[in-house]
This record gives sequence, C-alpha cells and structure tokens, in this order.
Amino acid sequence: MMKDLKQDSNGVKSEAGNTPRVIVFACKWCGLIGADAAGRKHAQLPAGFRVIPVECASRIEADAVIRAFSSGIDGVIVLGCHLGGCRFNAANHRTAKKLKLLYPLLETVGIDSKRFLLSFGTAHEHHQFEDLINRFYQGLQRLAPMDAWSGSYLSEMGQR
Amino acid sequence: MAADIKIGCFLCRCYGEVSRVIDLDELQQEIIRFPWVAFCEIWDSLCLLENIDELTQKISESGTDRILLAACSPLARGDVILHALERHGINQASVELVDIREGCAWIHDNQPKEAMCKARDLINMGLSALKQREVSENQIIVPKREVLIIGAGPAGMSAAVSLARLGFAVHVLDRARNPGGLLNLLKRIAPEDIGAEEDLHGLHKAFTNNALVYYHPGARLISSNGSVGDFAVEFKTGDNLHSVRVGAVIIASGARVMFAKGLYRYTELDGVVSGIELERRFLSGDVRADNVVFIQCVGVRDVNSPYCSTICCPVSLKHARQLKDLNPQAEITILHRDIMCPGNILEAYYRDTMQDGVKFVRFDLNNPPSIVGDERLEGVNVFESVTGISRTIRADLVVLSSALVPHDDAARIAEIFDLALDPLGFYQVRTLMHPLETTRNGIFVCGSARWPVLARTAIVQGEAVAMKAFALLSQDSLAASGMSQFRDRKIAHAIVDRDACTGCGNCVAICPYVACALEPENGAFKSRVNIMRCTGCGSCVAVCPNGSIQLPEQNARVIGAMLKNAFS
Repeated sequence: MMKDLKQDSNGVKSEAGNTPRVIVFACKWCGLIGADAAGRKHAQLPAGFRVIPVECASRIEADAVIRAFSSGIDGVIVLGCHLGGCRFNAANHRTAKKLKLLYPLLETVGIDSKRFLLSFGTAHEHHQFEDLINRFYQGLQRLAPMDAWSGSYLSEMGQR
Repeated sequence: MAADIKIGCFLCRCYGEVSRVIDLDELQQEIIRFPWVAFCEIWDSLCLLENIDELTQKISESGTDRILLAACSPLARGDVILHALERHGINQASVELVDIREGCAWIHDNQPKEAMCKARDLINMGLSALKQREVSENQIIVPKREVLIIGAGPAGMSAAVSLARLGFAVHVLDRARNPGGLLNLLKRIAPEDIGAEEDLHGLHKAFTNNALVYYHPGARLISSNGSVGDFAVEFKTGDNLHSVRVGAVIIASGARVMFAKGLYRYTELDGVVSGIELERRFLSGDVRADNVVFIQCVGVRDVNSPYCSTICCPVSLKHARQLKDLNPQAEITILHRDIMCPGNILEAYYRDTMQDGVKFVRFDLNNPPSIVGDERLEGVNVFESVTGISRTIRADLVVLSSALVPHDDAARIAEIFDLALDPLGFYQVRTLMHPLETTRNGIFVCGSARWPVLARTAIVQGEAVAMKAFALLSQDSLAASGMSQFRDRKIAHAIVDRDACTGCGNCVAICPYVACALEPENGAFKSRVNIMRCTGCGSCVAVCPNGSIQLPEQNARVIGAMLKNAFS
C-alpha cells in the first residue's frame, strides 16, 4: 500500500511540503457542521486534512483507523456529537468507549497516541473546528512523518 | 467493483467562488482520463433550480448510473441539488456530493497549490466511493390507519378523541374500569379551580360515545411486534386475548402518586396525610381543620430523586384555596423550598393564593422541618432559611404534597416495546427537537408518562401527539428509506450477508433502534435487519467481527477506497 502511494504521488507531495496528512471522520450532525461552518467563515486551515463524512461516529470501526495508519497517514481524527446529544439514541457512547481502547494499542505498536484524536461534541462550531484542527497539527508537527514508521514496519513484515 | 460502471461528473464553478482558487479546467482534463468516467462537465452553477431540468436531462440522456457532483457542502446548497434530483427521479444513493467549496476552496484560498491537490484528492475519493458503492433495497408499506393508546387519562383520552375526529380508529387500553386516570381521584383541578368532573365532562362524552374509539378496560399488555406503520400488539382483558394491528402507538400511561412512607412520620401519626388523601377527604366532604401546614418537595429534589415533580406546588396552592373556601379563618402555612409556578397563569394563581392569606415559609434541604407531637400531632418545627430562626407552627393537619413518580408499569411497557427509560424511570424522548417521540419510530409518549404535568397540559400534549401520529399515518405509504427522523432520506440501511454471518449477536446488542434480531436458519442463528427500524447509523457495522453486516452505500470497501485515494 505504501508503494502505491509513492508511485501515485506525481511529485505532489513535495509540492505540498511536509504538511502532515490527516483523515477526519466527521459525523454529519456535529463534526461536519463544524467543518462546514469553518468553510463559510473562510477560516485558513492547513490543507493536509481530508474529511470523510459518516452518518454517525458509531460507524467508525477500529479497523478503519488502523487501516488509515497502515497506509501511512499521519493522523486520524474521529468527531462525534457530544455524549448525551447523539441523534441515534446514544449510539456514540459505546463508540467512545470502544475507540478509546485504540490508544494503548497504537502506543504498543509504536504509533504515538497523539496521532489519534477522539473527540465528541467539540467541533460543532467553526472556531471549535479550527482550533481542533490547528492544535492537532501543532501536535503532529513535533512528530516524525508516518512514512518512516509504516515504511519500516511494512518492510519488516515483508522480510519475515 | 463492477467493470462497466460509468460515472458522470459535474464540477461547479459557483460563479468563480470555486474556480478562483481551484483550476477546474485542469481537474476536468485529469478526470476525463479515467476509464470509468463517462463525461465531465463544468457548470457555473448546479444549484439554481432552473438548471435542474437541464441537469436531469443530461444525466438521463448520458445513460450513466452514478453521478459525482463537485460543488458546495451538503449543508449549504448541496442538499438542494440532491433533493431536486430526487424529485426528478434520480436516486440520491447513486449521487455523490463532493464538497470542494466550503471544504476546500474557501478554507485554503491562500494556498492554491495545496487546495488544487486537495480538490483532486477529494474528487478521487468521491469517484472511488461511487465505484464501490451499492444501493440499499427499499421497502414500502401502507401504514395501518389505526392507533393504539396505552392509558385513558386526560392525555390518552384527548389523543383518542382527536384521532377519532380525524377518522382513525383508536384502541385505548387501561388498567382501570373507567377512563379518566388520576383525574377520577380529584375534586378540583388546578389552576382553573373547576370541578374535575365538570371539566372532563366534554372530553368524557366525546370519548365514550365514539364509534371509532374502542375502549378496553382492565387490559394488560402481553407483547408487541413489528415496526412503524405496522405494529402487532397483543393484550388481555380478563381471560380474552386480543391482538390488533396498528400504525402507531401512543403511550399515555401516566405516573403514580408517591407513597411517602417513612417521611415526616407519615402513617405513624393520624394528622399527617398525603395530598391525595386530602383529595379523598374533599370528595367525601369530611375536612375539618383550623391549622394546616403543607410540606412541599416530599421525597423529590434530593439526592435520590433529583427532579421537580412540577405539579405539587400548584396542587398545594389549590388545596390551600379549597381549605380557605371552606373555612376563611383557617391558618394555612406552606413550607416550601421554592414555589415552582412558571408561566403567567400559575404565577397569578400563586399571587392570588398569597392575597388570600396563605403564609409561605421557606426551608432548605439540609434543615427539613420536623413533626412535633408524640401521640398526637401538635405542630411542625421549621428552620426558616430566610431569617435563620427556628420555630414551631401549630398544626392539626399536616399535608405532605404528593409528588408524581414513574408508573410501576413503565418498566414493563418499555420492555415490551423496547423503549429506553431515563435514569429516573420516565420514558426517554428523542434529543433536541422531538419532545413527544420515544427512542423508537412510530411510538409516541405524552402526559405524565413523559414528565409530570397538570391536567390541562396533559390534554394539550394528547392533542399534539395525535397530530404527530396523524402526520405519520396519513401518508399513502411509508418507505424504509424515508424513515429517518432527521431529514428526508437516510443514507442507507444495514444489510446482512447471510452466508458470512456467524450469529454472534454483536449487532443485536449494539443496535440503538432494536432493528437487528437473530433468527434461526439451517440450524444456526443469523442476524436479520428490520429496515423499517434501521436508521443507518452504522453501529452494527463497526462491531461486526467479520464485516458481514454492511451499509451498502458506505460499506467497508467504500471507506477503504476513500482512505487509499485520500492522498495522491
């Protein structure tokens, strides 16, 4: 997967500089509203994040997050409604518990847990969304790019 | 991925809002090179309604089955396009809307290179999602034009009468023989100060002499099945088992009066009675008291029951006025923590009662009043929190105001209908804008089952809930894809791959709408989704150990493809 990414890059990565690459899974009832509001305000944000809208944060399985990291993505954010305000009868409560288990797991395989942000009800307004993205990027900039990790990990796996 | 999928692309300039940052012509050149793209066009504006005809014509002529629209956010004008297309017969499930205005052009307009790269990636993600996407099958049912109402109190009666007036047959169940609920125990109702019988007379008449209202006294619920538009409910009256098919269920089962055992020496001393006992004395006409003390907030608004039962203040005011009517010389004191009388009518009621000479003394939670007297009631000792003075008020009758607590049957009814209760035991309603809807589609709640209310409010809620049921059931048909409460259409409903399903039951445990169920099939259990109940949240997808349950429109392959194409 790593190879694919590199072959497809067409030199774009060097253009984009070293902006960390981030996937944002945004629930349509909170995170996406924040992202949309930030857009309407013409907020200036780092360009390296891509939003994947989902109906509810409970749709996000640990597998999707792990897959994102294993394809060399630098950070993953999961945004849901605040606990108690889920449009789907508190579906996000169990997600909050479930995805929290990923933090120690990521640490165990050597991925800094700062790369994964699980946040509920904190991105409903434009300034909240901006703050969240900016702060996450500040955290990521102190870390080495993910390429290094997944590259060595995948080659290690290949040698075995 | 099906090899023959052809995708039609429309890019929107938004009159320069997008194209001043992103070079759409260059994007067009890149997109058109993909073998799965049939055509790619750039429009000045996709969302103007006069363009929709041209857009739909273009789509139907081109023969493409999937459409990618790169325009603004669905929250801006995107939904307008989607809904307009839907009206022209283009299924929303085959359209992908990529947000390149709010999500790209506007937030990165000082870094055009990165914005260009991001727009390319977003469109790539959209295209790859479209390629992997499947379409949920729909299910259309004709709703049953009958409604089941549980409870024949003021709320249930008014709901029944309103629905009958609209031409719906209504089945009303109640444990008691006579309709009226708690109102049958009252002499007067607050704050109107008119007799309960007199007030209910019109409602009672409309209820009992109604060809469309089927009243089942002494009924006991047995089971329920089905989903919105078609519930099958079984109940017993005596030894007879009845079963009805109804389109909606209204829960108006009311609340119960708290039994204040162990508080303020209730049941120990004769002079200490509860509010509901005082009502009984009013009905039998046997009230003689010169010094009466009311104690408010009995058993509520404390650590164990942290809620205000809302009706007890107006009810105590009503009792005080009734006592004053009988004996204008009576000394009446109301010991309260706060008088809860919101709104202009109740506030005026409170002022009037004060004018009548009823005294109000405030105490606080940490220093509750205590009853004085060993064998016989002598008075009440109260620490006035305003003055800091402790004193004893002489009393020959102490009335503990009767708070309402959740009905004993609430838990059982909730179990039969798979509803959620809040931590206090009242029915949980949907968050935000749906105060009369329970956690399940097609099941409504009103009156004191939802929250303690006065009779008049219960009647109003009954009428409101009847309108809710009417709006639902007056439709010619109900489609599974339209059963989302939050917008016109839900994204998808889950579907189970029956061959792969291992029957572990994770989806059954997590589904917030009780839509998944295990069913025996060839000696094993397989999960099945009731798509009328499913709201497409995807909780089940996330917990399925082998991915055999999926939302077709956003299945694991869609997410995977989007992740893979997120950064070119």
